[in-house]
Parts: sequence; C-alpha cells; structure tokens
Amino acid sequence: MKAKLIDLTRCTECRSCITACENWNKLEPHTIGKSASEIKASYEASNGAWELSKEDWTVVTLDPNNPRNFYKKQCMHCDDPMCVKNCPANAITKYDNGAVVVDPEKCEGVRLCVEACPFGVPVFDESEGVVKKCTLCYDRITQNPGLEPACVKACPSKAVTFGERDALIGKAKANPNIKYIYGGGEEYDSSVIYASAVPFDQIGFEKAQIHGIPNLLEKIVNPLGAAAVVGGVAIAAMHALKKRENEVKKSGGKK
Amino acid sequence: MNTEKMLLWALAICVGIVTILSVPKYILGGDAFMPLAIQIFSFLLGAAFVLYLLIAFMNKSWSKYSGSGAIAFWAGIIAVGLLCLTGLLILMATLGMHLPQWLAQSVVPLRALTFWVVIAVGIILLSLMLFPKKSTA
Repeated sequence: MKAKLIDLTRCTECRSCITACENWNKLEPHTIGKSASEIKASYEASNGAWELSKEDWTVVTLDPNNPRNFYKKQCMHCDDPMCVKNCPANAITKYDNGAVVVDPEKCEGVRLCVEACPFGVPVFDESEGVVKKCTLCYDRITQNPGLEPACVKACPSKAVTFGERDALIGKAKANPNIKYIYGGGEEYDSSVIYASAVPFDQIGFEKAQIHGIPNLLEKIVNPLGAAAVVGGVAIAAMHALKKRENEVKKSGGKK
Repeated sequence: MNTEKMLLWALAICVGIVTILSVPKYILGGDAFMPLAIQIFSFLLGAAFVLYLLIAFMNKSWSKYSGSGAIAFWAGIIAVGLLCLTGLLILMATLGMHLPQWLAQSVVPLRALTFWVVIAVGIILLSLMLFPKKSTA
C-alpha cells in the first residue's frame, strides 16, 4: 500500500503544497464569500487559508501564539475510514493504493462523513451539494507510470514524500531528528504518516479519538442482527406449531 | 377498517419499502438503491409512526396483544422508533446541524442493526398472518 510521509522536521511552511494542490485540482482561490479584510487577515496570519475548505484540501495550520507550531493538515486516508463507514450513499471508497476518494456523482450531501471524521477533514460544498476533500491525487497516482501527488512533487524541502508505506515508516524511524510518528500503522492505521521532533499536541495536531459506542456497535451489529433474525424465525415457528397443535387438539387428534 | 389498523398497514408498507431498498447498502454492503424513494417513504414512516404512537397510547393498544403478537408489537415499536431516530439524525446532518462525533459514527451501524430487527419482526408478523388465532367469541 502507498502512503504519504509528512516530515515536519523538514517542513518550512512555504505552502508550495497548497498552491500545487489548488492548481492540480483546479480549485478556486480561497476568496469566495470572504470580505477583503478577511482575505487580508487570512494572508497575514498564514499566507493563505488556515482551515480546510471546499477550495483548500490541504492547509498549513498556524498557532498565533507560537509561529513555530504548524503542520500540513489534510485527509489522513485512514485504513478503516469513518467517512466510508458512515456514508449512507456509499459515495466514498477506500482504494487498495491507500486513497480515500469521494465520488461526486454518488454523494448526496448527507454530511454524516463531515461529522464522523475524527480529524475534521471533509468539507461540504454548498454550491455543488457534495463533500470535498483530498483525494491523495488519485488521478495522478493511478497513471502508468504513476505520478506523485501534486503536493509531493511541489515540496522544495522534500518534507512530503510518497511511496510504499513500510519503506516510508522505515525511513522515518531511521531519521534521528524524528521522535514522534503518527499514522501508517504507528498508533494509527492510515496512508498519511506524520513525523515530528516534538509531541503532536504541541503543534496542535489532534489524534483520532476512539469512541466506545460506535466501536461496540460496529462489532456486534451483524452477529446481533443475525441472532435477532434467528430468534424471529424461532418465534414464528413456535407460533405455527402451537396453532397446529391447537387445531389437532380441537379436531380430536384426527389431523 | 379503523384508523389504528390503517396506520399499522401504512407503517408496515413504509417500513417494508425502506427496508427492502436499504438492505443492499446496510446489510449486503453494496450501493444504495433508489435513495429518493427511501427519503420519501422515511418521511411518511415518521409521520405514520408519530400518529400511531398517539393512537396506541390513547387506546392502550399493547394490552390487545399476547404471546408472539406482543413480542412482534414491542420489537416493531422499538425497530420503527430506531429507524425514525436514525432517519432524523441523517436529516439533521443533511441540514448542516452539528452532531457529536460518537453519535455521527453510530448512526449507520445502528440503522443496520435496526434493519435486521425489522426483518425479524417481519418474519414473526408473516407467521401471525399465515396462522391467525381464531376468535373465541
């Protein structure tokens, strides 16, 4: 399986990745619906958008209290994606190459994926009525020969790299500057891996929360459902047998 | 046919249609089938369920049922109630209302479980219809 390694020890927050993403995916400049003062404030604070939106599938977050705290935010392309599991329209697919992609033709704009994503990634596009998010450049990586995702290609400091997941994890572990790894099987199963020299909570990165109730429901739904159907069949059979027994009794054992 | 019976039939038809159209997605893991029809019949189901609950509460309908009938009645009420609840949560998300993450992650598995229960209730009801209790009056 393929993965993307985001090495925060090399990231210079130049935002080439954002520009490359917008160019490749033909996204509108993130100025729609914003006032001039909002746009100016946005650029002054982070040289662009600071939150994911329908036009920004990746951003570099910024902590106004500590300019050294930042990270490239984007879809984690989880192995067991909550967005896929909670889409009533089956519009989101997890591909073997690691990418989690929304099919705009199938998306009904239900937005359960927006609420269910533990990283707050999918964004609803009001104008088109569909959910948008990073595709891991599915249209690039599936070409023959496969291209790197646009953000990887554009990164001048090679902070974002793309390749086989195990190889990327090995590379991150071998780097003495990297102290913390999240994703790609390290703490979390995903096709995006973060590597950092400082703890993730220091840079404002929120790890996925595991909730007990949905976790339990997911495990029991099919066995419990099958048991309910078996129980229903048993009750129905008992009712039919009892009815037959009563009929035999009434007819004096002739039936 | 009295109002309660009419509502019961309306509930049965709506639940049947919603379940049949939803099984490919929620139980078989395939694509959703005729989503617009699911939405329309889910709205009708919600309205019929609220009306039925009111009438059943006024008539104390639960006292009319015993044995398999009582099981089907209560399991049916719970299943349709959960179906309406999960439908309402999906509608709330669609309208852009914020749901707690654990709740948003629970809607689809809970709805899948509900469809299993609806199938179980359907089997019991089929048996009750095929082998009705004869009136002793």
